Amino acid sequence: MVLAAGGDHAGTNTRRALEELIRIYWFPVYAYARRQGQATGGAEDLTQDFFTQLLEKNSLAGLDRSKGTFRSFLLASLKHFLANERDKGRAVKRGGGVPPVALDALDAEARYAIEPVDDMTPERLFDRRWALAVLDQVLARLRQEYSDTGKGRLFDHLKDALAGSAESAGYAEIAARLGMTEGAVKVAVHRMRRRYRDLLRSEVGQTVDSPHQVGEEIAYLLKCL
Amino acid sequence: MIDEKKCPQCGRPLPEGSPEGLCPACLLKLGMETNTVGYTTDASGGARWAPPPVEAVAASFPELEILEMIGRGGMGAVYKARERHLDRLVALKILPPEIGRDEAFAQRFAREAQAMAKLNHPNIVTIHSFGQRGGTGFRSACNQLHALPMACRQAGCTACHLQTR
Repeated sequence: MVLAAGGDHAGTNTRRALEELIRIYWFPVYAYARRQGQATGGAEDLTQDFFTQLLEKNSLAGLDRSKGTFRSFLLASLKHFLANERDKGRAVKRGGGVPPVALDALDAEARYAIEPVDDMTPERLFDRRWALAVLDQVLARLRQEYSDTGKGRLFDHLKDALAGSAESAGYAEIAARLGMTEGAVKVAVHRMRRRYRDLLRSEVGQTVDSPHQVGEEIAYLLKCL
Repeated sequence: MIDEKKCPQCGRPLPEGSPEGLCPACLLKLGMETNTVGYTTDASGGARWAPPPVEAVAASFPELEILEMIGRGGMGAVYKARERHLDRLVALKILPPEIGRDEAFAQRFAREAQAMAKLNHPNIVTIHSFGQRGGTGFRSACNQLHALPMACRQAGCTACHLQTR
């Protein structure tokens, strides 16, 4: 996705790819702005403006793929953007039209409100929310795949196995509830874990420079939790 | 904090808004495993080979009904299975994936399988197939069940294990 977004072909594909990235990763940006001391409204505006600028300037076109992860690129861009905004004293309000990226402001504040009140730095909070945003996205895709093939109920029953806890729930009990054999449940669990893992690695793969950095990035995100 | 939810797997507190109510740390750890067939992550976060569970093998070999693991060692694990089409018992040996990536070993493994496939002796399992699937090396064997001498009935003998079930 970053490849598409940062590619040379500026156009609808680039914009669509960017919008998709923003849809997944806007909350870490919002949380960062809030933790920086911005009030609710200010953080919403800044998040909007930041992504608007990213879209308008097509900043990703200049993204050097050897420079690191999309996560660190976005954070660096955000810091740069916020510093500029401070300099301007936010005297001029840009835009004024319909926001190009729909952020659910109520959802944003509700989500921010449940952040633990501690001394977590804005950077740490950004990374932590990033990790959760990746997982949200991957699980939403996995759930979608299952419900698209009429297996939504199977997903609901087996999803605990993704965090390794299905065995405690008991395969036999799940099998009885779903009218499957225990063996079939075990195979289904294995398939779901494998598909989940592939989706996660591919999602993370879109935000790093090369495939062999995927494990490294996942390890980093794990440390950020 | 009242009634803090914890991950049943790793015991970490579950943060509010966890994706699908699942532990984010365990979710990420699953993504770090380079191969869901055969690797587990130990406490230090390092990967070590563990024989894949029966259901994992079953997922990779739909043509076989994997019955049980009958042996394991440093170089692989052996499973008892039934070939669905031919309704015969076979032994399936799975090697750790990193061994398959070792070109020299892969060649030796192939030579050994070819040599064994030419042999026909009651105390030697006959090789039916070998190859790579899902990142693991495997070979599948079946022996002449009726010809096994009684003296061979000892624990750990693959041929006997197949014969007795």
